[in-house]
Amino acid sequence: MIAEIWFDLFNSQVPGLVFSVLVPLLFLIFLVRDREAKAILGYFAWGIFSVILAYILNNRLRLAPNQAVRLSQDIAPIVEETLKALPLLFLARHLASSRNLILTSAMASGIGFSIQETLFYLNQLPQLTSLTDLVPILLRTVTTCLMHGMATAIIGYGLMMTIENRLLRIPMLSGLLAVAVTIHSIYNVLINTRLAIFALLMPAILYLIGLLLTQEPDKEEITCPPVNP
Amino acid sequence: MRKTSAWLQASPNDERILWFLLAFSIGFTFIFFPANYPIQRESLTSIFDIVFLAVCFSATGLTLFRAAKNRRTDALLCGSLGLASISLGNLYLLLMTLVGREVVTLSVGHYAQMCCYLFFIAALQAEKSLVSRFDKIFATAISMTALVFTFFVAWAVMLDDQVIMSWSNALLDVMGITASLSLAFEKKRLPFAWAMAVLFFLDGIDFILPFYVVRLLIASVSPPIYAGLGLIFLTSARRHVQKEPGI
Repeated sequence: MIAEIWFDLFNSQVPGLVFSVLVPLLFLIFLVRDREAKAILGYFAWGIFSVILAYILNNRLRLAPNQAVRLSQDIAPIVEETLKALPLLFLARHLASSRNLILTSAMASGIGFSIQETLFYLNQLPQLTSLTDLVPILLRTVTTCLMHGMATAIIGYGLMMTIENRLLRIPMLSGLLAVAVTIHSIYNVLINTRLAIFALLMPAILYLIGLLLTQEPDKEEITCPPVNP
Repeated sequence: MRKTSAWLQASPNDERILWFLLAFSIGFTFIFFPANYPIQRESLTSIFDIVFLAVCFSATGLTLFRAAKNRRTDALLCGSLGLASISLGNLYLLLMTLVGREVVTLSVGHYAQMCCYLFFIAALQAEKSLVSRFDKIFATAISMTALVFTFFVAWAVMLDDQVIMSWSNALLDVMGITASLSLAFEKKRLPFAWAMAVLFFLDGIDFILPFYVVRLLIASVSPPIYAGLGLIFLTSARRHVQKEPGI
């Protein structure tokens, strides 16, 4: 089975595309001294690398009978969201001092993944003949990138909110994984239908909500007791 | 001490909207259930599904934004995320119908519908004060069961395995009822704990008795239950703030 997976992987363009971005990025990560920048770049690199794992898992899972038609709708979102978010648990343990860093790193992991996915997708398209051919590609790139970034950021948000309450962490993150998976799946389904406009708008709306929520609280603050000491 | 924006207190309008939604959904249930029960058409449950989606999205919007903006990690946030999760699950299934894809297998929509209960369990955990060692062991056990549950539900959806899904559902209902009953005799948490217990009980009934009448009954009582839950989350969050002297 391992030989089969190996053969499958190296017969595709995935490893080439991944390592062409990953290797230079790793050099940069080792050079950077700032701890936060290192974390963000590290998660970005993980997002890029996780494409390989997602490719292997998706390919294995679609081999079962009647599974190929369910791949983009029911299988890939679960596999991809889980892989992108997996190393965030490590971040919660070691970098809990900076709440926004968790959110940014989560988004970096999602964006890293989306860049590779888009490269893979673009590689399969025929050559562009005019500038107008670029518009749908750009539109898809922007929305895919935001969708992947925001889906992982949702899980990062859960982690950020449960730093002080560890007992809530597992149910909360498991639930948020389901929310991220559903958003991802809705995007994958709608993008090829007459309701594609909703798929294109959804990541942008999520991003705007994210921007609103990460703003600092109002100046005229009042103090209230910790809700669950 | 945690800081909270002043606008958290200005919630009477939100509560009024939720009271209205509750009254509307109760009225809808009382009128439509007796009228539709004798017809016994599968399509009728979808009318309740649409009303349910509208009620859930409104309750989510009102509770989630307030919770997230104020960085609350209590029952308000967990509960509102639960409402968001079930709304998304239902929206997914509705969108599938709209784009002409019949959902005949287990789908991500079912996954989201199931996982909303994880948020409600988290909300119950957030309300519980961990005093004794037993409380902490109980909370850890709930967390571990939630992890196992998530794994099995994701696995069931990916492989379209109805048996694993059903047993995971049963496990979740038992876990939810246990967590609800552990709070059910605390005076301040009485409405919340019993609303949750009813929710998990109904889900369990749906699992044990998969008949049309039961499904229609559960579909018809769901909108008022979820509107009520939104109201409970919002009022309990407001009470937390009002308790602080000087506010």
